[in-house]
This record gives sequence, C-alpha cells and structure tokens, in this order.
Amino acid sequence: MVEDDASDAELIKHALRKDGLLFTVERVETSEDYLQALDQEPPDVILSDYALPTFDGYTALTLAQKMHPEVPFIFVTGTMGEEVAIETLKNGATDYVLKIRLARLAPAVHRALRETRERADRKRAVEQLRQSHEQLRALSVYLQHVREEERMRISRAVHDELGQALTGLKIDLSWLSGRLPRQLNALITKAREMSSHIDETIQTVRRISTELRPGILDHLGLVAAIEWQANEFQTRTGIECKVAHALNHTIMDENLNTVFFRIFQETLTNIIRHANASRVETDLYEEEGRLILEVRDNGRGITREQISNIKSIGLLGMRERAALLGGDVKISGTPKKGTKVTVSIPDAATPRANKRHHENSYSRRSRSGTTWFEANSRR
Amino acid sequence: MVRHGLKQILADEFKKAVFGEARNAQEALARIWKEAWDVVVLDITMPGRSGLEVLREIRKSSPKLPVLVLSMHPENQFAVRVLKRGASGYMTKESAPEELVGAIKKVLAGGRYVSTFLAEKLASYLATDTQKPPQELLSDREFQVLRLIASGKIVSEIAKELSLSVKTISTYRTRILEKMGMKNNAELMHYAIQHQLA
Ligand SMILES: Nc1ncnc2c1ncn2[C@@H]1O[C@H](COP(=O)(O)OP(=O)(O)OP(=O)(O)O)[C@@H](O)[C@H]1O
Ligand SMILES: [Mg+2]
Repeated sequence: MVEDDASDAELIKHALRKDGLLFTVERVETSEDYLQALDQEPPDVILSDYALPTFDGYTALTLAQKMHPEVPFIFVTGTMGEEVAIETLKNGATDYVLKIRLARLAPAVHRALRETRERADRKRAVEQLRQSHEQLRALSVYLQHVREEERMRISRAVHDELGQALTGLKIDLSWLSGRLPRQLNALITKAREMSSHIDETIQTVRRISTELRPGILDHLGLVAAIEWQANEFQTRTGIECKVAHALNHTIMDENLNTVFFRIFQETLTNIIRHANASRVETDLYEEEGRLILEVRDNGRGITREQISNIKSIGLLGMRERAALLGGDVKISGTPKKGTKVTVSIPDAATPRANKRHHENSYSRRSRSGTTWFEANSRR
Repeated sequence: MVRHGLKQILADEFKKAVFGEARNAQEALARIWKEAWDVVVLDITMPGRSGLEVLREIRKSSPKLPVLVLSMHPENQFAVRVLKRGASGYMTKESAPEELVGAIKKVLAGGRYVSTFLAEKLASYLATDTQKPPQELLSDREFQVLRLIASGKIVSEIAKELSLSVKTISTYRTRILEKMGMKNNAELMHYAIQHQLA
C-alpha cells in the first residue's frame, strides 16, 4: 500500500476486512521504501494513493509495471479526474477506487486477484502447449532420422549381403555348368534357366535397395544422385528434366545429402501428381556459404492457399527437413507458368572433411566380406 | 566366396597368371605400390576406405595401371561416373561369369570395358546429342548466362543481374565453355552472333 495518510490506511484496511478478506499490509510512503518492498517479495496486489507529498502514484505504477507486471495495481485516491483515470488504466493500472466509495474496494480487489489467477493459468496452458509442440516436433525429427537410418541399413544389408550371396551362387552355377558333359543338354538348359533366374533376383534386390536409399548418394555424392534421379524421372514420366550445377566438388555429407535428396524426390513426386508440367529445370549451386537447390516446373503453378494449407503435409515435411540443418524452403507459383521450389541450407556447418569420416563409417557398418583382388597375367 | 569364384574364372583362362588378393583398401594400396601388377580388379564396397578412394590413389600413383571396377552397384548409377574417375571398365558382379575374361583382356590391351547394353545406350545417347546444336546441351540458366556473356557483359555484371555470386557465374561460364567445346569468351561471342543468340 502506497499511502501517506495513516488514518486513510486504516479506513482502507477496515473496508477490506469488513468484506472478509484475510491479508497483511505493508504501508510505504517514499519511493525508497516502495522499491525495497517490491524488491523483496512481490505482493498479491498493490494499492496506491495518487497524490503523495514526496512521491506520486504515477511513478509507483510505472515502477510496478517494470518490476512486476503481473501484480494488479489499484489506485485508491481522494480525487481522480476521469481523464487521469483513463490515462492510468491505459498505462497498466488495473482499476481505481475513490476513497469516498471504499465499499467498491473489496470487489475490485477480488476481481483483480481472480483475473491475475486466470492470466497465470492461461500463460501456463500456453507454455504447456508450446512445450508439447516442441516435443512433437522433436519426435517427428527423431522418427524421420530413425526411418532414414533404417532405410539405409536395410538397403545396404539387402544390397551387400543378398547381392553377394546371389552372385556367389551364380558364379558357382556357371562353374558347374561349364563342367557338365556336352551331351547332357537338358541339364545345361536347366542351369542356364537357373542362371537367368538368379540375374532377375539380383535385379529385384537392386531395385529394392535403390528404392530404400540409392547407393549413388553415399558413394558418388549429391550431384551424381540428383542427376541420376532427374534422369530416372525423365525416363519414367517423359517429362524433360534438366540439371545444371555450378559446384566444383562433390557433396558427401550424409545429412546434407539426405535432406537435399529427399526434398528433391518429394518435389518431383509433386510435379508428377499435381503440376501437369512438360519440363523441369534444376539448379544446384553455392551462394554465400549456402548450398541451394532450385527446382522449377512449367506446370499449372501452385497457389497461395495450397502453399499455406495446413493439410500440405508433404510441403511441411520438406520445410522440417531443411530446418533440421538450419535451412529453409521457399515455394512460389505463378498460375499457368509453373512452380518454383528453392531449398537453401548453410553448408558451413558441414566441412568437407566429413567425407573421409563418412566413407569410413560406411565401410565399418558394411558386412560385405572381402571381394577385392588383383590379377597378374604375366605369362 | 565371390572372390574365390572370380579367381577360379580367371585362373581357368589365364593359366600362368599370378593372383594377389587384398581384403581392404590399405592392403590393396600397399601391394599396388610395392609390387608390379598388370591389372587391378576393384570392388567399391570394402572394409576401410571405399574402393573409389582406392581408385583415386591408384590414378595418382600409377596412372597407367588398368583398373576394372567390379561391383554389386547398378550399372546405370555407377558405370559412367566410375569411368570418368579413371577406371578402365565397370562391370556388375553377376556378369563376371560371362564377361570377366573378355573385360580383363580388353583393359590389359589398353581398352575400356562397359557392358554391351550400356555401350549401346551411350552410343544412341551420343547420336541424339551430337545432332543437336551445342547450345541445346545447356540448361536454361546456362543459356541465360551464355546470352549475357555474348552480349558483352562481364562476369560481375552478370552476377549482379542474376543476383548470384561472381564465383557461381564463373563456374557456369566454365561449364558452358566445356559443354560447347570452346576455349574463351571470344569464341562464345562469335558463336552467339553466328547463331543469332545474343
Ligand atoms: N509442382 C506443383 N505444381 C502445382 N501444384 C502443386 C505442386 N506441388 C504441390 N502442389 C500443390 O500443393 C499441395 C500440397 O502439396 P503436398 O506435397 O504438401 O501434398 P500432396 O502431394 O497433395 O500430398 P502428400 O502429403 O502425399 O505429399 C498439393 O496437393 C498440390 O495441390
Ligand atoms: Mg506431395
């Protein structure tokens, strides 16, 4: 309570007590005492006179706003013109009560306390919501990561182990059929059939492995993988798909590769499904420490609503992937002219030294055995 | 298992050949540097460093030594790019029973090996490409840069106009010259004027 008149203070306390409020009061008259009181423990409510001999209510309000904006502040004053009252309310005062109408004080305090409580509850709820958003986002990032790891692991296992085993079978079969006597025609034919069956199975293994995660991405790098994917797309859909890149080194960073490649795939899928385009242009270049992928189609053009639609999960996924590495995705469309998707990710965070590290870690994980040998044919 | 089978295939054909085996990149490089081999057959997936890194090392230390890359990886993803990195041939492992002997002979003679299928594809690709005027090989962005160069603009002006960095434009320029088979801006300008591109 900021009040210079002790008897007024008693009247105020009396008014509150009469209404059944239980409370303790600290009365201050000077700005030093006021500041000290605020500094200790914030009160539940501040009651303040407006005109004081050494201090004024307006300053008290400003200080309270600065130090404890959540504490309700009620002016209890002898006189207060309507304009001044409105001005103080604008500046953050909760209410004002004239000393000649102290019966209004207790309800005003009650209301102020209730509103403060509700505000705190709301704030807590918002905070909880934010936290659970954050958790969901972390979960989705984690799931995406796990999924990619899983794909990579299965892709390699299938490719290296099944591929290797099938190749071994085929080589042995060929050895065997080479030693079959000529006149056993039926057996030789059978062996040939088996051999082409093995070839088909190897093709299937290759297809599955490539669909999960293409080896070209990890062995030959991002540029090669993008070029290859564009070529596949063109062959499969008949939509012309050109790639230009202005990079003089291969990008071998596993995370960068994953993000760019998956976004590229999603963009191409969208083009097949929605764009009705006849031509796709892709640019890959570096600009001010960022790696940038730009994909333009000449289709019907994505609309503003489609871009911002919360149901556009595919686009959201692209943005989330890029955000994971501190990058972003810009999407724009012009009706009947086409759609442009630009992915930009800082590549400063991923020095090229990663390459060595990556290739090592790949090989450590691989269980392909050893199929390396040299032949010397000096006769 | 596979390595043994492959050796068998070669031993049947090259009766007097000496074979050395290496289980990983380190071992392979050590043997290649110390001993005199006529040809290397190299896998991509190995423990330790990747076969492609081994290929790079071999190209540095023994530029003439033929290297045939033999791998499980699909031909359409790998063959051309591995050849570009200096291999003499690329073969998928399951083709080895039919093709390995021929391929070894070919690269030993200084030739290059790709499968018949890929060779045909490359040939038809080249055929369609050479019929086109060279500027058709350029992407839209490259073509845009070409026209700006042809109009007499310097790299920094072009960079400003397209709001890209000078370095990026320079790289585009290099690629354009490469694709068009030209040496400098003057040739580009000449071409552009002749074909009314500028
Ligand atoms: N290249 C494009 N051209 C025209 N419209 C597009 C293009 N890409 C996306 N769109 C529009 O934006 C919408 C959102 O795309 P998004 O990838 O988020 O969803 P989707 O492809 O419909 O479904 P999914 O979640 O399976 O990816 C699409 O439904 C489509 O209407
Ligand atoms: Mg989609």
